[in-house]
Amino acid sequence: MTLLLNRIELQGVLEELPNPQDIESIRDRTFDYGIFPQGFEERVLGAPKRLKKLGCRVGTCIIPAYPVNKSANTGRWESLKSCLEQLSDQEFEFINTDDASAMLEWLLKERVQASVLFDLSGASNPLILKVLTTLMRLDVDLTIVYSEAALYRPDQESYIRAKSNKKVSRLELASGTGPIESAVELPGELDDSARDCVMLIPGFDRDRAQSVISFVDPTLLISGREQIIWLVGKPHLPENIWRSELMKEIHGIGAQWPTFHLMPTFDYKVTWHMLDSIYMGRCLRDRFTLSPMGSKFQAVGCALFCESRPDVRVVYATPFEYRTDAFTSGVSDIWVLQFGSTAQLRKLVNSVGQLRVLTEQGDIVLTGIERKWN
Amino acid sequence: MDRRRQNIAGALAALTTQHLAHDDLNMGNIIAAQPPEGSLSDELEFRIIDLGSLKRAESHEPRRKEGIDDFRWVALHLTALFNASKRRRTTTIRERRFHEELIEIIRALLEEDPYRRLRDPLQFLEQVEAAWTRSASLGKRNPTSPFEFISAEQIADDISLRTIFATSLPWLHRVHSTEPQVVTGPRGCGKSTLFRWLSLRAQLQAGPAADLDLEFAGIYISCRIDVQNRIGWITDDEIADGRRAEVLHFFNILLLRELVGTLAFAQGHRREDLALEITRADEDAIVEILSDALGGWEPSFYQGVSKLEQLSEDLREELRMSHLRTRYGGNAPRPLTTEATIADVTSRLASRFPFFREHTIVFLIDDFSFHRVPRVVQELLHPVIWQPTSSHRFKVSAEKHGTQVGLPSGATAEIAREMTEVDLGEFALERVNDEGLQFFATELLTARLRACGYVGTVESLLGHSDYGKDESGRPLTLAEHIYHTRGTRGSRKPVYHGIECISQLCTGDIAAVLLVMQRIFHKAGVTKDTTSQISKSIQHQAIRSVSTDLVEQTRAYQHVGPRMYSFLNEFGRFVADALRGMPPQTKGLKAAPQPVQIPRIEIDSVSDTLSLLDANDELREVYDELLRRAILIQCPMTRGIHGDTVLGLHLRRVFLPSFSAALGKNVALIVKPAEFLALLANPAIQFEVFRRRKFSSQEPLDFDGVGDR
Repeated sequence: MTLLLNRIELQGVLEELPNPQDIESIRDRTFDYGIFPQGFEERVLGAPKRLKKLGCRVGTCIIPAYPVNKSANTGRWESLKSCLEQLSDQEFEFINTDDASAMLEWLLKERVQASVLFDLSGASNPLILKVLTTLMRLDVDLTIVYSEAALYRPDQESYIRAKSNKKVSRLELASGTGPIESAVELPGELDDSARDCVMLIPGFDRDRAQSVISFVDPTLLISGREQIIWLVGKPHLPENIWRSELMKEIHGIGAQWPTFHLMPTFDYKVTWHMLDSIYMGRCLRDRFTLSPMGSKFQAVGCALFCESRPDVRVVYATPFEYRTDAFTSGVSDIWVLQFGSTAQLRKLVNSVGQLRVLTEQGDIVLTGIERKWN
Repeated sequence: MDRRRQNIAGALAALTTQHLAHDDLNMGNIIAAQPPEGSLSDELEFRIIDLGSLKRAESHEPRRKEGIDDFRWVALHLTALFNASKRRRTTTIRERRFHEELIEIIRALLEEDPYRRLRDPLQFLEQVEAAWTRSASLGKRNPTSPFEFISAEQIADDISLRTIFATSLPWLHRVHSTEPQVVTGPRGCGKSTLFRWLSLRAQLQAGPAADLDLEFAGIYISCRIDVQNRIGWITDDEIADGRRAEVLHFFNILLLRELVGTLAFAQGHRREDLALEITRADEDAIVEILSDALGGWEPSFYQGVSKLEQLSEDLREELRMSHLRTRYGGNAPRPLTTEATIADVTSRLASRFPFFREHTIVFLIDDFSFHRVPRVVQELLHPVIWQPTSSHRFKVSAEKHGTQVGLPSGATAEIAREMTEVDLGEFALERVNDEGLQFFATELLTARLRACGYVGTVESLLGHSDYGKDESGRPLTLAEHIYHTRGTRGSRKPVYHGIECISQLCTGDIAAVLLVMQRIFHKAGVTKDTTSQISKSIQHQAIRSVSTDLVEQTRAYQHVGPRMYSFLNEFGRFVADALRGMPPQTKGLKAAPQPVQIPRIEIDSVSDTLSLLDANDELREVYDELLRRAILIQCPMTRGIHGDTVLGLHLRRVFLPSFSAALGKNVALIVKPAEFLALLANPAIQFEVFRRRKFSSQEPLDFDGVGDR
């Protein structure tokens, strides 16, 4: 009998994961829990309003509230509250985003296969990673919903104007850096010394990216170009493509930068795939720090990548000051990702890179050995 | 995995040499068993059982599971082990490399083609062993560029570390003692490199030409890897209180893992001049000591692998479990270790091994700074670290003011009695003369050039600093050159060049010198064969550009970066303006008047200054960060004219070329505490005030005439 050794490739796993669907696909669904983070953008109201129109219901609404920038982040709370009251008739559960992991675990641990809806629209990158990492430790039926904004700032007109005046830095959406910290849930399980490699998914502000590099190793800012991987967002709408150029200008990433990639902002699978390709090319030498400051869907890709590569450390950087008036306005398309069982998702994600022995017909040779060597 | 594959290969070899096939090597038929009664060894053995299907290897009898012979069973076992190892989640880079190599061996075991398949158990074992060895050697390599490793963290193995280490490091002998110390200094001053180099592991690799008489047995632990990522999230008093016992246990296990790992390493790497031999009886004694320390822990050992290696691996697993308990709660299966555990273990080791009586165990805890180990965690660990005991000591390295005990008010009297602080920035500034720095820089660079096979030498490539001569033929200093050429075309000539100038850039921050050299080599296109001198112009440009990059880098420091940048920028401009705008000073000098070099601020009362800072959180943070990030280097305390203790703060030298300033110091800017706070609060305005006062000679300078460069 011919036996073949097969390594489970990421591409195969990605094919089993859901693609974004229109929110119509969850018409009339009822969810046991809904996670709706507070936020200052108009789009935090997008999904709750549409869910109501589609006849969806939510049991308990969990409201992550940010401990920073409180006045801006609670600015839309009354409107959000009124939308959520139309979806749910139960008391809200408020959680601090800093404690999101522990609180979610406490709330959902005993609720095996509870259906959970997570609205990314107002969620920061750290919150997305915390929530997804925690939910993958539990077993819930997960649906993600995400509202795109109608207008993303800075807009093209401001960009053209700023570029002609050579004042692109004025378009930055935040300034300064608050605390920088390693993610508790994703500390990087690597037991030895190695060269640092920083994978940066930057936002529209220079200070945080520079601070993250400095946090890992300040000498990288001066002499470590090849150890800093810039993953600049590439919007999926053609009219927004110029934003990649703006981001490169803000971060001073010229054509000569040796380690620069464009990463789609809307496709979490490509995010995961790109991160994994970079990882595979360097993992026999480097220890990785990933700092996600990009789009919401990129953060979803990061969460899956980190679950599959536990030796990668995640570092979060909070801006010192946001320009809350300059982010987005309006609500455009609303998308849904139906992941289903998070226990199964975790198993699938962790299967990347594992080995299987197959027969010529492609059947897996099952011997019961796997269970016993664990 | 290592021990399992050896046992399985051994069993296969036994069957093959007897021309037998087991034919059903499933999991149930391989067991880990106690040794036979009366055996001298207590190690577990892997045994193959159920010989019901045993047959001659060449037999044509039908097999139980079609197509799966003994070798393919082994492939299935290795596949399962590979996956289990991946699921375990913690890993090392060596294990990753080994896994990649193992895949090809499994393929060869599954192969059908008789010419390609692996069917010789001895060859199988050899291939696995070779893969394991290769996985380690891949990490050991000399640098390909002289400046490949600038941070110690980037150096994966101790052999490379030893290759590029310069034993003329001026502060080596200050740290090489059994004295408990907090070693502080600017980032990049070589604390990590020095701690790693002093470790027993690194010293055991010295070979016959040992370059150091070992004073102690160093056990190196980096907070960057295990501590920061695993318990660095505990920043709150309440959380810390609730996890006190587990955090202490975690730290103890971390120390023990490195201690046992070093002992295991010592088994295979003897150094002739060190009387450290670990016999099998010693191994058993160490196991007993550890077993007692860990509350009656009874580890199981497998044949064929060092017990100490297995013990080290088990401690690694316990570390992981302790981390999970710290994070997610849960009960430990055994009593947790305590504040007394490490002292208990080290005193018993000292009783057993004469070596540890002669060479006190010193735990070298690297980067025990707040950004790696939060204040609340540091406080939990102090009882372990600063416990007075004769059988071991601790040295910790940290950024200036980066550790509780390094703060002026941070150490309790008990702790302060147990250790001394060695500030390498201050040491470099005040206690190392120019010749010492130059000798060290030359050795440092020579070692790196040699390791990479460069033909050119430091002298041939850089040459000596030359600033011209005065009318009497006396060589000018850098400051004189800048002063005399000010406002003329001569001021555009390159000034920063030569080994003397480059070594003087160092205020303890060795990394800055390496960055400068890296930039010079890059700009000049230096290759292994280059022997001709790099032009002064290229050297000057490179030094200025690194200096400017480092100034700019301060903006990126979180939170107060922009304020620190502003202070640095104004101070640097002030120093440069003073050099050009003030008349040369002659006080106390027989020689020619010297241009003013004023890169130091002296505040006439430490206590008043600290009181004012304590009352202003915002400025306190800026001040602490200026010291922590080594923008300012704190000088040794001196007595002022009124009997107060004077606080001296020196601008790190590597910043000075960015402002076209000289590198020396012959006068300090003396300010009152309130003026210093004004400098921190609004540097542009306050330096302008000083500029007007001092430059118009309203206030005389207290010129000391020393330290010129």
